[in-house]
Amino acid sequence: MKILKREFKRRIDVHASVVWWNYWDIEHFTTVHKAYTNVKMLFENENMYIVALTWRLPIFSFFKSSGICTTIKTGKYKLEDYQSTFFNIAVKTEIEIEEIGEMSSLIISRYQFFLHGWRRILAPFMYKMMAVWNQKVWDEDLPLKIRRQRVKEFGFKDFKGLPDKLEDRESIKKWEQSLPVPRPKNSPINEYL
Amino acid sequence: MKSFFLCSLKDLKKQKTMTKWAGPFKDELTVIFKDGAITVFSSICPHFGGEFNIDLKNLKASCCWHGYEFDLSSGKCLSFSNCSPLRFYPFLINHGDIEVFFP
Repeated sequence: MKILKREFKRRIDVHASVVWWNYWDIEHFTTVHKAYTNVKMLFENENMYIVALTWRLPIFSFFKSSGICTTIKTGKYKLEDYQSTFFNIAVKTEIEIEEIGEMSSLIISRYQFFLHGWRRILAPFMYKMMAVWNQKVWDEDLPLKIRRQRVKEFGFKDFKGLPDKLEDRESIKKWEQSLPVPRPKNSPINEYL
Repeated sequence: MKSFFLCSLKDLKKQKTMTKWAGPFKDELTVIFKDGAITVFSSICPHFGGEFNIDLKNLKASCCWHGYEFDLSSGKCLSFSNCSPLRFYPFLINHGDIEVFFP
């Protein structure tokens, strides 16, 4: 058995809670990320979620894969994600968000692919594919995080919008993101719940 | 009352829809022109703060982040009842310029 490891570090000038929100906001998966074609929630609480996912592979986008993904909060801004990808390859992902100053974050993504038997030959492909995947997802999420940071600095509240009075449009005081990220009961994501 | 120059009427008639960050209002404004009528609204989705795709034909705005739809006549969220409506801004056309006011 071969364990293929890859690590990516990226910095962004937004509060760690904004980055955190992005990881736990399931509803944007299929609308923002071209790779995800279907996502349904199976279970969630304040520390974890389990979803049924369908996604397209980077590079070979005609290849679709489906599986169950379990994401667990392991620290204030830390999570671990477990899923099986195509050819039943088990994947563990660790995400760590470090707060750099007040409004800047360092995101460390660590991937591990457990390649059994003949799957070992896929290692060079998986190595390249993860860089493409990570870059693609980063590029698609970047404008969301920057914009959300901006509106939060003007007092934006989820489901309410900006304050009515101009003098109240000041940065929010509480930056923490509570979990699970709220979602309407009739959201299509909830179909399996 | 604070006012903000959004765009010229000439440009709007040509473009049909324009979006601009309004610094003094701390908001992003979108103006649409359809069948001779002008509407100015905040284009920050009240759900999570996303940006909109504008469907002028059906007078709808849909959020690029989560797909929530809003009716551009009433501002009402068509996807979920517990989401606040869009905020509309009053405006004046002054010498061919569209000036928006903070209510």
